[in-house]
Amino acid sequence: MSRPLATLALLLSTIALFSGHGMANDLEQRFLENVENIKTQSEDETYQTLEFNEERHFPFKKKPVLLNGTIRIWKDHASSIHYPEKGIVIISTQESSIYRKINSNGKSTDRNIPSSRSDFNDILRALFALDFEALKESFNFKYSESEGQTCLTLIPIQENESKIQHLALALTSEAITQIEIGFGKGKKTVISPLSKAVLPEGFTNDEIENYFITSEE
Amino acid sequence: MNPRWRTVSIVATLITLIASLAFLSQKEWTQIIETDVSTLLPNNESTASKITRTLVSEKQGRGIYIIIENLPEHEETQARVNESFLATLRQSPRVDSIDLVDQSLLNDLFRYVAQNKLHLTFPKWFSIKNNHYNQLPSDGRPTFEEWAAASAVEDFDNFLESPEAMQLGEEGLLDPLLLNITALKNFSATQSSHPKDTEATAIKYWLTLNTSPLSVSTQDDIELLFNQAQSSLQEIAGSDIKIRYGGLLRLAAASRTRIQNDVVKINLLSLIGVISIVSIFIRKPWILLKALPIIVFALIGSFTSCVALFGSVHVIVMVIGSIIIGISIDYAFHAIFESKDSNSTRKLLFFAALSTIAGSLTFLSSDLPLIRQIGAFTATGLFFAFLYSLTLKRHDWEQSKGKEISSSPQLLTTARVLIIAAIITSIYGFTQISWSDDIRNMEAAAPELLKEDLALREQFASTEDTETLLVTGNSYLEVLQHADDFTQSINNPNTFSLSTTLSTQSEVQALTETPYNLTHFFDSLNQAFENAGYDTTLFDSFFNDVTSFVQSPIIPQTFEDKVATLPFLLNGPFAGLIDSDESLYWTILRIENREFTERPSHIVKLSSLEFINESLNGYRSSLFTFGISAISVVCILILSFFGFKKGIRIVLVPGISVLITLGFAAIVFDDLNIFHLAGCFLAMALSLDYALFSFDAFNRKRPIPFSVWLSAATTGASFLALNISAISVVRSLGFVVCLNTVITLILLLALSSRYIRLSK
Repeated sequence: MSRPLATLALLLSTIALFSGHGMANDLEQRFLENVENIKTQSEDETYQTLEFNEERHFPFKKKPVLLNGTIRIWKDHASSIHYPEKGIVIISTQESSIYRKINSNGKSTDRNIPSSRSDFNDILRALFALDFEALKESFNFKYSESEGQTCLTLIPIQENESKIQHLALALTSEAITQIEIGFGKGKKTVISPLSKAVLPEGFTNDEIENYFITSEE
Repeated sequence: MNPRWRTVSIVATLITLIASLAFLSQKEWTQIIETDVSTLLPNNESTASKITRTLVSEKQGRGIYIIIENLPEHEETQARVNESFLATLRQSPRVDSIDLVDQSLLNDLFRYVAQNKLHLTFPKWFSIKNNHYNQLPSDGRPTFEEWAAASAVEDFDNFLESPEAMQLGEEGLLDPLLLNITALKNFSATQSSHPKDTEATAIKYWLTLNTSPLSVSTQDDIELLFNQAQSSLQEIAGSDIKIRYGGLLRLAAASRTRIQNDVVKINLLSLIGVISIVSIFIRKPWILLKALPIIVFALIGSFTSCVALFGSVHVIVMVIGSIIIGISIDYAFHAIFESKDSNSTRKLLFFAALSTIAGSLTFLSSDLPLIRQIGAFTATGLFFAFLYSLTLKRHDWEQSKGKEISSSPQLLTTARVLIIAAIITSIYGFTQISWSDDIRNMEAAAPELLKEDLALREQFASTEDTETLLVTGNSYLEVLQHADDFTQSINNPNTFSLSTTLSTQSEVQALTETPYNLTHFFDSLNQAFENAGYDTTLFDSFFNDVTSFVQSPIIPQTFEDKVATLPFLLNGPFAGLIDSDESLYWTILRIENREFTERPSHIVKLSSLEFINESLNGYRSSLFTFGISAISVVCILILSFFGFKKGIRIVLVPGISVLITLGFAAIVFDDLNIFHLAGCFLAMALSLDYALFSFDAFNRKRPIPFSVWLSAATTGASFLALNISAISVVRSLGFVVCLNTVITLILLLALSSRYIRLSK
């Protein structure tokens, strides 16, 4: 290659590189702005509920498993994911996370989520709180945009105990629209929040008893 | 005493002393004194007791729970700490094994159960489905094979919808019947519902000793080992790092230190008390030097007989056997301070010794080794004491002091009033009497240490709310059957039992005798999953196992053999969860909140505390029975020697005084225990001596002899010192003997007015 051509190629690639970087920065900027907006909106909201749909894909099953449920968020206390008739996952900020099964007679049985699964719950906890700092050590971040939503894909830097292969989060300036957790080999779950409600009065006593860890427990 | 007889006594005493010392010198002192409580259990104990003894002395009793705290969060440093700690401890010859207490502790067990699921867990699944199927209306229902296959698919679908499905990191665990998932859930429940979660900056271990935790050298070695480990860990991870450990060894070591301090303190106070009293009474305390060897001589006799008969002397026998110290010193006092006008001292000493020795010998027929040892220890000690007392010469002393004290009319009137008041009070005391033995009363460790140990134990697998039950049977499958029947009958969700995971005898039986075609069932199962949209290649390994399972003979013994491997896979706090010893088989059930009231005979409480307490209760009732026999023998001998009229007066004194003492003790203490009872027998033996010598004096119109006053005062002072002990049962013994001595003297004073001429 002649010197002028080489110089031109270098110049073009540098421009391309910088413009690409600039685009990435821009996507990150917009994503983080949306995150800030969502956080600002819910800053004073101690109690929230969120209806959701979930699609579970398994490599050994031709059709995905369809579920719906309610996520209850009690700020600085716990997030509770309730699958009607299936069970509840309570991800506590203070104590161990637990699975809870409510029997037909109304009695509940709790089981600590094994410590080997704590990575998975730490990730879920960080996602619900939109706290990405905690994930920066373990994941590479990739920003994108699609159909008016800003997206973030997280790829683990190295294999982790949670077996998560990728995480994807889509959000607008108003709310999280989709969370996808992939485990590789075709196993993934896609959670699409439907509606969000803020409860200024807080949860009822029954809700607290059923969906959270109370001190007596 | 005739000088010729005295020479014979001296020669006999010397011969027995030399023979005893020669015998004892061949033994090692560390082997002579036994401290393990389990060695005292009767030989004809029940199956449950044998298993409990094995668990207490061989398994749980040898466990030490350890937490390393304040670790830096840096993972590499934590790994180095772990490596260094394990390396240091594994070097010690005292350590049999040390395991990290985390999820991995049950990994071997889970892996084995998963690999052998068709033998270990499939019969349970099959039985549950069979029961459901039998409840269906028989009209138009599909064949069992098809129905069970469809039901398995439904269960699988439900599992995929459960919260756990997405968190399952390992798809290889899945099998079409969810056998592995069910086992995993049950084993995780054991881990997570019992031990508290460990902080991220702490690591938990379980160490098993290969020697007794009650051995002094083991305690010292382990303490040194932990100090060394702490220093090396501090070099790796900073000075904040801390090792906390607990278990029987720690408590026993702390108790030992406290007992040692107690013994020094009590003995010193006792000695000061005795010297002070002797100085007050005779102003020549060096006379004690003539009397004190009798104790050493009696103890040599006691040790010799126990070692010759039983191989060792248990430490508890030594405590209760202190009876002989109290009585033997009295023999010396009676011999040394013999009244000038009495020529019956040696005869009385002979009666006293003979009756007490004969009483003690009745203990030898007991089934309980502790009672037999007490009998031999006491009888031989008293015989040696009596022999030594014959060698003592009368000391020339001033007798008037005793007479002055004993014959003051005011004193005698006061004594009569006091004794009536004491009888009334003790009658009230008898309405309050209750007996209970608790090993914790013998516990000499500091309360703070006990509290710390309990907190530490809660980090592992033991809480105060958890009831541990021992389920016994004639085979592994039978114990699992018993455990399953019981857990189903109590219907308590907070129950952990291997029987909720592993198949039981009836389930195995039902499978081996099933009329259904297993090959057809597994084919239907494969087809049902295919039809439901599953790619069944995921289950290839399961169906390969199934092929060999249905081709080999399905007989119960194969299932039993598979369970028999489990004990080798259980370590740390789970050791002994299911096990066998010779023809005894057992498993352990853990139940929170104790919501049951009745249990079948093959299920017993497994609490080392309650087990030892029950043993102590047995000992107390045996001690009572043999004590009564001993008293009867003594009474018969006294009545034969002295005739009914004189004899009854003599035996009534110890009888009445001990009953009054018991009444008072019932008021002072919430519950009376084996040591109060032992104190009563010691007190009776002492009172009998006082009564013998006093009535001999009364017959000569003399007041209570000086030797009785001196004996009582020194005994009272010695046993009063026991009341400052940190150990509750030692205080019990001290209180009973001390109070009984006072009451006997008051009673004798009150009675003396009938016999002697009062001084004006």
